[in-house]
Amino acid sequence: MWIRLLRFCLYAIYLFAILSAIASMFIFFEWQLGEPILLSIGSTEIENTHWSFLLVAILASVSQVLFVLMIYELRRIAQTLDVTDEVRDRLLHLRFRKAGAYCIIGSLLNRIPAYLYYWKYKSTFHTTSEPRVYSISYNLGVSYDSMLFLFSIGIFLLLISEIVRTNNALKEENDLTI
Amino acid sequence: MPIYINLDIVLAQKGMRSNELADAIGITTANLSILKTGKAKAIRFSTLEAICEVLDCQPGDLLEYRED
Repeated sequence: MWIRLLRFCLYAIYLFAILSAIASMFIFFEWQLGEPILLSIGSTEIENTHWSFLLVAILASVSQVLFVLMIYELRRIAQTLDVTDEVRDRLLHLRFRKAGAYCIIGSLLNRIPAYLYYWKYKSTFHTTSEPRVYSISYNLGVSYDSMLFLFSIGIFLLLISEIVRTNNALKEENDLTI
Repeated sequence: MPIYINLDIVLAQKGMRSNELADAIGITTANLSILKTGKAKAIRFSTLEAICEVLDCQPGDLLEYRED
């Protein structure tokens, strides 16, 4: 029952991730219209004041696709609980590794280009000239919504992949002890 | 691995078949086949003891070290 509920949650996240990835493509239609665009990636907001904005948007879209792939791999990991032991052990290692790689690459593609673009062209943004209401503002960036969090999740998945691989080797050795 | 299993030779000397040995020591023929073909990673003392008892031989008759 508990596993079925978790699988359903993963399935729901997967659907939302697909919808989000499709929706992110609309930015390219907006780009063609020539309207000013404000793109929020994490806590970074950037405007299309330079051609490299398109590059940032493309990389962000690729990261959305990688996020979908990561959730897809996690869904497949949840599905492997039904298959036989030997197949599961082999597949778990590969799928955790893929999910971890997608998470790390996706988080880097999502945030780094946006940060670079922001620091390079923030003086050209229209919103920077608007008066601020608050005299003091805090950005609690290194938290659950930060790139570091996503990055650490990716590393964690890779570590689980290595644990599964070591476990497989030990299990094989045990099975081949007569 | 430079450790070789001479189970085939000892079985031939004693005139016994693999499946008879497997039945006698209580392991599957598949596991005995793994042992005979050298695919086994390790052998338990209890298995070795049972083989020696049934075949009336010493562990040294079954195991051999050869430098590769």
